[in-house]
Amino acid sequence: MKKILLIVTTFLVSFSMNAEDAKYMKAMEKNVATLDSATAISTYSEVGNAFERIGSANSKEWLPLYYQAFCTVMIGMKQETPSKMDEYYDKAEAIINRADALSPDNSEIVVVQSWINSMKISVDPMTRGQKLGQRSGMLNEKAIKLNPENPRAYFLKGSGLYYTPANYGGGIDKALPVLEVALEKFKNAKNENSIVPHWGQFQTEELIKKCKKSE
Amino acid sequence: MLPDKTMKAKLIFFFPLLLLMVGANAQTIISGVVKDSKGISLPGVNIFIKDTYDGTTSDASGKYSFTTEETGEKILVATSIGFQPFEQKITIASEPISVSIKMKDAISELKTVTISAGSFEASDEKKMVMLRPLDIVTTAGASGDIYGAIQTLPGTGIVGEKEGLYVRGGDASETKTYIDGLLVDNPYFTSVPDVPQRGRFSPFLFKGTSFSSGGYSAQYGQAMSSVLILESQDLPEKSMSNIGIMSLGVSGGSTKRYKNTSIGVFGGYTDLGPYFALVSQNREWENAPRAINGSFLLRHKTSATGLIKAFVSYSWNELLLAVPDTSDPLLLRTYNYNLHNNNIYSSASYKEIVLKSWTMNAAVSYSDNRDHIRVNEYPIENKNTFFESRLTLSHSIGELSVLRFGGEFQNVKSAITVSPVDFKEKYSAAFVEADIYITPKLVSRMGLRGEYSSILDKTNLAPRVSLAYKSGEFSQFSFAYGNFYQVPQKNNILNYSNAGLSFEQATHYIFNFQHVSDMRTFRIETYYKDYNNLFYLNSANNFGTNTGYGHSRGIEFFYRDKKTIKRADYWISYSYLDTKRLYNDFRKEAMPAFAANHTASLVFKYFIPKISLQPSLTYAYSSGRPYYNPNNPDFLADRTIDYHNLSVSFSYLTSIRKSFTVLVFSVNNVAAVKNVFSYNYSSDGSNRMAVGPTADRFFFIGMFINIGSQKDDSDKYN
Repeated sequence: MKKILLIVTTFLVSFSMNAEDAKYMKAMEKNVATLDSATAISTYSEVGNAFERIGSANSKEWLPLYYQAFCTVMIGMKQETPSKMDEYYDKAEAIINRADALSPDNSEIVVVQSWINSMKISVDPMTRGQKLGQRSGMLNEKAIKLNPENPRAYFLKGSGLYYTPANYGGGIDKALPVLEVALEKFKNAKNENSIVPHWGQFQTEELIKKCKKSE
Repeated sequence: MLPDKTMKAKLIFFFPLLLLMVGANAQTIISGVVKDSKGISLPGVNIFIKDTYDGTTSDASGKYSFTTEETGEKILVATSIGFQPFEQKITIASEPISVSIKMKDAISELKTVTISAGSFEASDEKKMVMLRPLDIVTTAGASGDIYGAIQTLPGTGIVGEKEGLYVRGGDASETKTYIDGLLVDNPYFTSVPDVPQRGRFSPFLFKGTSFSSGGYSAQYGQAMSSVLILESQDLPEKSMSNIGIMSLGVSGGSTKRYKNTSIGVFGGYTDLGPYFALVSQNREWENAPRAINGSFLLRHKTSATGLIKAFVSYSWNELLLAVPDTSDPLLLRTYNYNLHNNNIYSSASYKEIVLKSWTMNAAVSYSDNRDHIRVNEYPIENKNTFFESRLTLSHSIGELSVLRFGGEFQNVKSAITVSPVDFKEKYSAAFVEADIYITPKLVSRMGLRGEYSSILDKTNLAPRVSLAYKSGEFSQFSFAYGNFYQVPQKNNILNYSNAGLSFEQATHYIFNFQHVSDMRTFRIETYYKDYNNLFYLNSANNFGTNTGYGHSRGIEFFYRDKKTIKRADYWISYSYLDTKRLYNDFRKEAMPAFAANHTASLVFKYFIPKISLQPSLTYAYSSGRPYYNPNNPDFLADRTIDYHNLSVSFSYLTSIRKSFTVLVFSVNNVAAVKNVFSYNYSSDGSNRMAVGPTADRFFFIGMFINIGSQKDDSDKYN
C-alpha cells in the first residue's frame, strides 16, 4: 500500500514538476523569440514585464532576471533625459545583481553588468568615464575569463573599443580584430536550447561593416 | 491504520479528483486602469498575480485586462520603474474582477527634497549636485587647488595676498576644513607675508566635496562662517600608477589593489627656482619655494559594509624671501624671511553597520606642524600638535529620515618661542541631529551641539534648524538658522589670557531657492549673519575682551548651464556683500579689508572631441577692497581698485604607450592686469607699496600620465 502511495505521489509531483518546467520553457521561448525581433520601446516594455512575471513565479531561475535586466537597459537607452536613463540603468543593475546572486560567476551575467556600467558612462562621460570605465573594463575581462568562448563578451569589448576615441586607447583598428573574434565565436557557438543568451551576432556583423566602411 | 481495501477505494476515488485539480481551467478576467498619484494614466505598468505567470502590461491609456486560471485569495501586484510596487489582496472566483490601481511615486533621490541652504556639493555619487569633483581639477585659474576652485563659488571673497576662504564677510579663521569628519589643523601651507599658500591636499584624494557658506550641520563646529567637508576616496577599482611632470616639479604615485585592500604610495618634489629664473617675479626671492611630500594610503574592507581608511602624509618645505621693512620710511630696506616647515598629518577611520540599522563611524587624527622661521637671523620656532577622536552613530528611520549623534574630543598644543606661555586646549563636543522627512517633499533638520573649551573654561549650546520644501519637479525652497561658536584666535588668547575670554559667536539666517535639472542649475540665496562676542582689543587700555560685534548680509546667484552651447559647460556666480564689524584692533566698526561689495566669476569649459582638447577659462571680478591708510583719519575708508583676472587653460587628452595622458597648459591673469590687493605703509605713513600678486602672469605646463596595471591586451587579437 505504502508503495502505491509513494508511486502515486511521485507521479503527481513529477507530473506537476514537468508541467511547471514545460510551462516555464514555453513562456521563456515565446518571450525570448519576441525579444529577438523587438525594436519598439513598447515591445521591450511588454517582454520585460513578462520576464518579470516569469521571474516572480520561478524565484530560483536567473534567466528571467537576465532578460528583464536586458530589456530594462534597452528601454533606458531610448530615454531622453540623463536622469531618466540613470533611473533605468540603476534598476537594470539591481535586477542583474539579483541574477548574479542566483548564479554567481556566470559569464553572461557579468557581460550585462559590464554593459550597464558602460551605458552609465554614456550618460555623463566626463564625470564617470574614469571610474566606471575601469569597472566596466574589469567586468568585461572577468566575463572573458569565466567563459573564453562567450561571443558576447568579445562583442562588448569590441564595441567598447569602437566607441572609445583612439586617443584614449580605442579606435577602429583596435576594435575590428576583437569583433572578428566575436563573430567567429558566434558562428561556433552551440546553444543548449533556445532560451539561453544568444543575442549579439547581428550587432557584431553590423559593427564590423561600419569598421570596414570607415577604413 | 485503515484496512487496505478502504485505502485502495479511497485512492481510486481520489485519483481522478487530483487529476481534475491539475487540469482545472476556469478562467477569470481581471481588468482595470492604472494611474499615478495625480490621476494621470500610466502605460507600461506590469500587472500580475504574485508568484504566477498571469498578468499583462497596461496600454497607452493605462488600461489592462488579463485572464487567469487561479482561484481563491491571491495578491495582485503592479510594478513600474519610478513607482513603489503596488499590492492588493483579491479573491478570485468565476466573476470578472475590476481593480483600479493607484501607483505611488518611488522614493528616489531625484524626487526627494534635500537640505540645500548654504550648501554647495560636489559628488560623483549623488545625482543632483552643483559640481563634480572633476570640475575642481579642471577649473582654470584654480591651479588644481581645491580652495582655488571653491573661490569660483558664490559667497567667497577674492583675497589674493593670503590663503584661506573668506566667506560672507568672515575672515579666514572662520572657515574650517574637515576630512572624513575630522578637523584639519593646518589645511594650508604655512603663511608667508603677502604670498598666498595652497591647500596641502590634492583634490584627487577626495570623492566628495561639500562647501557650506553657512547654516551647516550640528556635526561640525568651531567655524563661525563656513565649513569645507571633504570625503576621501574609497577602495579604488584597480591597481594603477600615475606620473606627473610639471614646470614646477614632479609627482608620482602607485596604488595596488588586492581583493579587499588597497595600498597607495604617493610622492612629489616641487621647486619654483627654475621657473622663477625664467619668468620675472614681483617678489624678491632669495630661495624660491621648494617642497617634498610623501603620503601613504590604506583602504581595507572588513566586510560587505565595513571599511577602514588610513592616511599618513608628510611634507617639508623651505623658502627665503626678502620682505620690505616698514620701519624704513622709504620702504627700500628689506628683511629676510626664511621658513622651514615640517608637517605630518595622519588619520584613520572605521565605518561599519552595527546592530542592524546603525551606521557607526569612528575616527582619529594626529597632526604635527613645525615652522622654523628666521626673520633676519632672529629665530622663531612654532610647534603645533593636534589630536582628535570622533565617534558618530546614525540610524535610519523609515526610508528617508535619519537620526545622528556623536561626539568629538580634541587636544591642541601649540608653542611659539616669542610667547612665554604655551597654548593648551582640550576641546570636547557632543551633537545630536535629526533629519525628519514629513513627506518626501518636506524635510526638517533639527540639531543641537554642545561644546566645552578647557582654555576658556566655558561651554556653549548651539541650536541649528533647517527646512526644505520641494516645490516642483526641479525646484525647492530651503531655510536655515543656526548658532555657531568659535574659540578666539590662539595669539589673542595667549596675549590676553587674564581677560576671561569667551567663545565668539555668529547667528545665521539663510533663505535659498534652487532649480536643478539635468543640464541647468539656478540658485539664489540671501542671508543675514549676526556676529557677537568677537574678540576686541581696546587700544586705549590695551585690554582684550569679547565686546566686538558685526554683521553681514547679502544676496548671491549661481547659474550653471551645460545645454545651451553644445559641448560647453559654464557657470556664473555673483555675490553681493554688505558687512561691517568691530573686532581685533579696529578703531571703529568698519568694513574689513578682506571684504568686497561685489564679487563675480565666470567659469567656461569647452570640449573639442575631434582633437581631444578641452579649453577652459575663468574670469574673476571683485570690486575694490578697504585698506588701512594711516594718513586717513577715517578708519578703513580707502578702497583699492577693482580686481580683474582672466585665466585660461588647455587640457589635451591623449595616450602615451597606451597610458591615458593629460597635457595641461595654463596661464593665470593672461592680460597681466596690475591687481592691487592692499597697501603696505611705512610705519611713519610717508610711503606706501602696493601688495599685488606674486607675479603678473603665472604659466603652468604639466603632463600627467595614468598607468593602469591591467595591460591592454587588444594586441593579441591582431
